[in-house]
Amino acid sequence: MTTPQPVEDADARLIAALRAGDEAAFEELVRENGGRMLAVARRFLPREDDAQDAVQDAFLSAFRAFDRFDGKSRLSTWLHRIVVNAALMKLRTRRRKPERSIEDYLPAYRSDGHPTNPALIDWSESIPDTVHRMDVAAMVRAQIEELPETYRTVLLLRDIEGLDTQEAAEMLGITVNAVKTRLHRARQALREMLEQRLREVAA
Amino acid sequence: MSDCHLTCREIADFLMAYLDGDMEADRRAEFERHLGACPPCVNYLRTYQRVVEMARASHQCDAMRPPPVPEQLVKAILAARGASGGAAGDAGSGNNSPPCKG
Repeated sequence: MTTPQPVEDADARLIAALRAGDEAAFEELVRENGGRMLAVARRFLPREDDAQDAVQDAFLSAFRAFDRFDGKSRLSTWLHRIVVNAALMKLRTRRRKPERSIEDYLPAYRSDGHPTNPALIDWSESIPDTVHRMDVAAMVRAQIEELPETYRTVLLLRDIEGLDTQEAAEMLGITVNAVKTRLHRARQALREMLEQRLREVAA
Repeated sequence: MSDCHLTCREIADFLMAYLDGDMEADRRAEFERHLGACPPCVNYLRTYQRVVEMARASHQCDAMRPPPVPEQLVKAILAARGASGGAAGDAGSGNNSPPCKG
């Protein structure tokens, strides 16, 4: 297993050039990673100017922190964490738009613990037959945007950005249990919303 | 739906803990007894798992085909780096390539 990994080689070359202050290397870093980072920032920040500000903040943080980059992770992974953090910082400075309570989206139960609308249909395997795959992705993205921000942020961090529970808790400054609770409620709400949308599409 | 001790509401409330293996053996056995007797809760579990997969898949195209980084953003970042003392001269000059098409 001594075959060199091209990506890691490219990272090592670029990091060496950045540490040497090579101007072209900074531009290469931005051009190579800026699009992916912008996509991440847009998921958290609906306004394009906020998303671009977050990407700029992230790169400036990265430029200042290169001496502390230990090379244990991929450069793109390191930048990903930095832009997620920058997007969360920007999100905190924004006034929240009025939004519905998560309770409005959660399943309802009778006093005996039985659901008022039991899940009588298993649609987990049948969606691709009824809705085009691209339509499903667009539908899911639209429903995620509808989630209350506190819950949407946790769902994005855990299920889309791939952070583990501990990392998400640290980034948000909340407990691991709070992350778990919010993630589960966000998923439950998203399930209800998608079921409703799929019913409408099928009708 | 089922006559087990756990209600459907509790099944839904503790579903993530069950799926993550974050549940004690006794509780897990009770959970599975309920699932064995309650098709709607099984449907709920399957569709919940599917929603997690769908959420993960919904942004994969961004990762495979990231959007172009706007040229003015590239220039702004490099200029801000220069302004903060990290670079000499105009780091953004000399590149007039058009933005990529997404």
